[in-house]
Amino acid sequence: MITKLGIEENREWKCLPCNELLKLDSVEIDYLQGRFTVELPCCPQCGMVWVPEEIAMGKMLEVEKLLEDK
Amino acid sequence: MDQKTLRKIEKQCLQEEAPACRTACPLHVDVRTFVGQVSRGKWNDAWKTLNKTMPFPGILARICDHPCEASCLRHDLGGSIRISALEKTCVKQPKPRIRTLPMPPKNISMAVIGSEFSALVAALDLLRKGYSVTLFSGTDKLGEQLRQLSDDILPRNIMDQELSLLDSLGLQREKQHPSRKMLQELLTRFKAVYIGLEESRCRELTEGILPEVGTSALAGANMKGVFAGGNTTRPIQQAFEGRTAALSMERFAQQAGLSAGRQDEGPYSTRLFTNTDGIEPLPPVLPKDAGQGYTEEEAGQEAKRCIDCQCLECLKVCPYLAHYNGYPKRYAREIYNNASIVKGNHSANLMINSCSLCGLCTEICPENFSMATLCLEARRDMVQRNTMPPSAHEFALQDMEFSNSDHFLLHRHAKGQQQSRFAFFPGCQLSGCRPEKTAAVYNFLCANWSESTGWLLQCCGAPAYWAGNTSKTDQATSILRHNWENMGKPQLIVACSSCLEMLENDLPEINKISLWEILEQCELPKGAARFQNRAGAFPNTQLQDRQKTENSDKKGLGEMHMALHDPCTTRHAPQVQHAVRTLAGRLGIQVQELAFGGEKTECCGFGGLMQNANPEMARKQIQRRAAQSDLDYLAYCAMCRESLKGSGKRCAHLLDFLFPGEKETDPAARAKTGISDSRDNRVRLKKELVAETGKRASDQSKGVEGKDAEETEKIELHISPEIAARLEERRILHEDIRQTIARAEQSGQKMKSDISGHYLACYRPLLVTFWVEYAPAGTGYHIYNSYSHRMQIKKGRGDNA
Repeated sequence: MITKLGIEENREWKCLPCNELLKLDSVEIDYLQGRFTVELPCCPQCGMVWVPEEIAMGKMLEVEKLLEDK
Repeated sequence: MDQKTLRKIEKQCLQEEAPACRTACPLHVDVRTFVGQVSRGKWNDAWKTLNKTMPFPGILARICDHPCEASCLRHDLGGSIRISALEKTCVKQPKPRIRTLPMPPKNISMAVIGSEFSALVAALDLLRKGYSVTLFSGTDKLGEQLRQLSDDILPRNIMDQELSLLDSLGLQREKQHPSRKMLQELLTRFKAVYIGLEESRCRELTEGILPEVGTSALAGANMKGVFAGGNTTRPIQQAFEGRTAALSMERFAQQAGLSAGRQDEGPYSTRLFTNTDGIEPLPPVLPKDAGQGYTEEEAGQEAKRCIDCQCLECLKVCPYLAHYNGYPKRYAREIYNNASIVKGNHSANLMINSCSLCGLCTEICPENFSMATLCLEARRDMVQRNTMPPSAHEFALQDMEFSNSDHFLLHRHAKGQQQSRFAFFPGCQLSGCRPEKTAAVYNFLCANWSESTGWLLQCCGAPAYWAGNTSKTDQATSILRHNWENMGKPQLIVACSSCLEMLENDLPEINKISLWEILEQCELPKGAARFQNRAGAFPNTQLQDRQKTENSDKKGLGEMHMALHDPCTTRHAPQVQHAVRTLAGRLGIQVQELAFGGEKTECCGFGGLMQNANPEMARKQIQRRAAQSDLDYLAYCAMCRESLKGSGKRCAHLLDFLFPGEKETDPAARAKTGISDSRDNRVRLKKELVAETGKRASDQSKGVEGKDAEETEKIELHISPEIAARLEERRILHEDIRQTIARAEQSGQKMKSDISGHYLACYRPLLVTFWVEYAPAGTGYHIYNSYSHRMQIKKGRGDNA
């Protein structure tokens, strides 16, 4: 199951080597015993992934803490 | 922790002990709850509380001889709460519907002889337990003696109403008074017999069979199966003996031991500690109409005088203990459960990791309960079983590793010396935030204490100890032992009280002394601030002026007043605390003692790695401390000083006055040292020392070796104060930022915003991914933002983060 994180369409950040705007794509992330598939902005060509600040310091941090207490 | 240890620990916390009013009551009526309900006008609840423990509350509340009142802690503070009068007011209120489910019938018959109060109570309790009960009495009416009381005290209709409960529970009656001969016979028909001794005929029946010692209610008479009680005029005692006998009869029927586990039945002295300091005496509320007793409102007022006896002494002094809505006994249970969980959330992890381990609760607790021991043990257990949340202590442990790497680690004899009688051990925190004072202290020691004073730079291992990480603690202490032995086992002059405590606990073989005790034995340093003499050479004029204006009304011009903050690790080091006061006095600083100082001093929030595991809690802790005086604070632990300053409190370190810098004007205002600066300062201190004493082969810094690393180190960063504060809060080091930029610039793997022109790149050196938004600026880079996460991109088409 792919979890959508409510990330708005990216119109700002480009992958510099490919000169492509990052677009939402499914990405597998993990921490400790947890593994999830989420939608994150990625480069359509090389796949370079961006974790926006509000995700890293928000939802991701929350889940990290939950997993640490599992 | 096993169950037995848990019980032992739990027993130390007195909060759940019953208050004196309850333990003085033979029936242990929950007086505190009852009075509380009355004070809030909750009459139905109050009724139910009485009904829980009182047999026939409508009767007993009206006639009770209330031993509870004599033990009330209000006794000497205006007068005991009029508990009995409150109970009378309560039972005058309409009785709420109280559903009590009787136990399933047991098919065992019991006999009760007599119709007075103890017999009635015994019969009631046995019926409620599900026994079939037959009451033998020569009279028609139950409770003849109680019926002698005036109607004002005990109205007949109330009595009949209350006793009708017996009929509804199926009491059988035989209207005859058994003879002694019949008694033997009854024992064949009934499993056990109770005899109520309020009546003379009943007393005659038991002649010669009552034991000389022990109670015949609990242990039985000298005739197997016969129990007796109630030979007293005190109604509460009659009720108690009837109840005691009913329980014994049940045990007798079950062939169980009669007395096992019944030590706390009946009145006993409470173990609950209640601090009555500061409670104002208040006289009892008197009813307007003495004959009618309290009105509801008057009863409410009287009940409000209740002290509501509780211990909670530790919660009053510790914001951490107060935060989790419980008290140590409950926390011990939660910590035990936390360790036993196989699946599900370890909900006590954060609580376990948030204790500062400062030991104040142990000082305050009448039973010396130690939350520190409990939490430290739990942390060790978590580390061992690999359930410790990685983020809890990681930063502190990495900082410790940094200090114990070639960046900082050093042991060296004094310049030109072949041996060391002493070695200065400043610790990592002082070296990190006051490197120039650290060097000044060392020079002073060489010149004024002993020229045979060497250096020992490293971390003592306290962070690992606090984190419950035994193997990392052992690693640190063995490095320390090794280097100390290499130096020829000098006496260590220790600046930090946490290091001192650590050495005391883990390296007792090392001879050590506090820096403050050494300085106490020396003359003051030449350049030291002297506040006695306003025209003195001390340059901190701004500080002095501020003190002067703020305190000129009450304290006189030019006097220097400061509130002294003792670090929690000096709690059991009075000699250190004394030395500091002597030094402050010599400097002319008038020390104000804080309400919690000396052995009752409070932690700054750094101890036990509280700040790492729970920054919010650490903030609460230090804010509480900072609010205890309006004066500037004087600290003598580097971390205490930094924590206090970090909370916005003006605070100076004692070394600021002993070794003032030429350009320093106001040390209490000096900014807190950032995490990156602290590391840089340690590296610089070591470099300077090495430069001074000559480089050796062993001084190569492996960590910063190599061309790339050197280049990275040279990357120039421009960071605004706002971003600097953010980095500090997020524990992102300049080093992390430099590495991220270096990698991105080298590989070209970065993103670009066409709007701002900024770059965005990430780097994961180990367990954390760092993101940096930056742009080239002059010869370096301007940093616009940085953040991190621990989750790892596993299987995207790119796995850069």
